[in-house]
Amino acid sequence: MALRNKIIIIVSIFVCFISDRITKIIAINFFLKNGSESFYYNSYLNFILTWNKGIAFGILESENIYYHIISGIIFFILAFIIFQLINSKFFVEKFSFALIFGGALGNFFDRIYYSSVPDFIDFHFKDFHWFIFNLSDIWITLGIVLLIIFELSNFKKNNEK
Amino acid sequence: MKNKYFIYLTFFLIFLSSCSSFKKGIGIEKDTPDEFLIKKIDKIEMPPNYELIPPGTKVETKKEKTIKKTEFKKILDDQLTTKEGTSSNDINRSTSDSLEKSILDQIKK
Repeated sequence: MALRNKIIIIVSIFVCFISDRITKIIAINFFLKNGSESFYYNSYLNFILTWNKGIAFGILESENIYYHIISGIIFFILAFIIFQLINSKFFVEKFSFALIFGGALGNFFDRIYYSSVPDFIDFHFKDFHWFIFNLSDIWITLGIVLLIIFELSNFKKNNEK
Repeated sequence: MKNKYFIYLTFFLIFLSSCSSFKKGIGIEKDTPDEFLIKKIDKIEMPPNYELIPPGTKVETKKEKTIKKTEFKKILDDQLTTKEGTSSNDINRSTSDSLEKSILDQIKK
């Protein structure tokens, strides 16, 4: 892999992690200063601060041993992603894993630092609200969508032969 | 092969992302505490023999009490020895007078 590609991968991991940290710090400080937990921005976007101790969609939220088990599983997944990042042949794959790793690192950091993950972005259309998420979730989802598209496309098949 | 790949990608998505429900965010859904984890606390009680001493009062220690007793005995003995040689009636009267005086002196002190 060319040096330029390596730099792009490392920088993208840092960008994902740092951008997530900055937005979370801004959101937490904003809600702490104002003393409220919600902020109306426009008719499609609200900011609501919630703390998630579980995994996606608020599943397995607990404060006891399950929390540590989940954290352990996430740690192993992170290790596996690093392994995949190093071993994948194509740049798109590497870049996707870098996005997933950067985002996952942001959430994992919060799990250790705050013992739960802060979520604050609430997209909605009229009365339909999607789950409240953070920037890390955007990076992770983006990385996974990229991997799925790459897998479904014939590019990988054609180039592996 | 592709299915396996998609399964582990979904597994990643579920475990790595941490979105939470909107209902919980606005407070409709609340985390109810586990009733079996709540520990009952006993009522506040006064400890046994707990007495507050009013401010400014001097507390006599055992040592001070014994010192006072010995001093009192000494005074009595002195009185008795000085009146030796006089008649028994006189002794009794004089000792009782002097005793009274000395006791009053001690109290006034």
